[in-house]
Amino acid sequence: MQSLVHSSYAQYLLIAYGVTALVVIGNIVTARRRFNRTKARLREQLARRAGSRRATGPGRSDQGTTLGSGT
Amino acid sequence: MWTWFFRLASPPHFYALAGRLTYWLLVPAIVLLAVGSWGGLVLAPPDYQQGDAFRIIYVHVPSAYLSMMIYVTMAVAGAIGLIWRIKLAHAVAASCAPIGASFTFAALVTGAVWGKPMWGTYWEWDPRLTSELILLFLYFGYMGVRSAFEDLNQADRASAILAIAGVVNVPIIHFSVIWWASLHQGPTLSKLDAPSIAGNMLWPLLTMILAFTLFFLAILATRVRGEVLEREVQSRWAQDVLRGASPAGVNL
Repeated sequence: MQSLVHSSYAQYLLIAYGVTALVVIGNIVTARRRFNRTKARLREQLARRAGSRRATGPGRSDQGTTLGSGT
Repeated sequence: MWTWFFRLASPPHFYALAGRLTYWLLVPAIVLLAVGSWGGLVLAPPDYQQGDAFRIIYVHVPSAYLSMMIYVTMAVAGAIGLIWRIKLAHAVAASCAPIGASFTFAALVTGAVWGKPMWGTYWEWDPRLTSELILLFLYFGYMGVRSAFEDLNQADRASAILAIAGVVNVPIIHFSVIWWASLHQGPTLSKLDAPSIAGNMLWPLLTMILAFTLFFLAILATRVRGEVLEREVQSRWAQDVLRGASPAGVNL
């Protein structure tokens, strides 16, 4: 490890491993953040819709869609 | 087999399964990343020609392998979505693109950083490098096409066609070093009958490839969960999930 630090290639190794670490960590962070943000946005949408439904009376019932069938 | 496949295509089932799998994939991936990095940086001996610079392969090869593997996954998922109209497949394809683009970028940067001390230049319009750059543009094109459509079904169809058409680039990347004169070295791992890498250099590389694969699956699971929830927001089970309740028949 000591010889690696003093190797003439140390800067190249540092850049290569640094960029890869950024990509790996960046992927975890953005995936988690995007998932949490999507959940929060959809929750807000649902709450807003429920609020407007309460204000205007009962609307159409929720109809389930499925990802397993065609359009 | 088919029962299992159709059950997997059920959004609530997939959502629950992906949630459970994420940590079972991510934890081994992190452990293997640490072991592989230690093996590659410390335990593997320096190469007799390339010295310590060869250690870049422990991040470059897994990134390049993922860049191609993710594209093929995206194209196959897109084809399944187009042929069998399974929207979960489109959700998988859409989730693959940003992960694939980021690893293609990593493969290009680590390759350039390796090229400088070995070839004397960061970039050369070499068949392998150019076809890998085209792969990055294909990922960007795929994401651009998706965001160009307001209608999700149209976006799914158009982007799937682009993904399927672009898959022709993957064998070109792989065989470019055989078909054309290339600065890039020839295949190392695929020559199973006569591997051109020593065992004590090989095991950290295989460990890193496995770690990157598990890592991709963990990230994909998280991204697909978000996609599924967004597409299924009108259904009762998704609304139950968003309210924090466990829908009937779905173990979250």
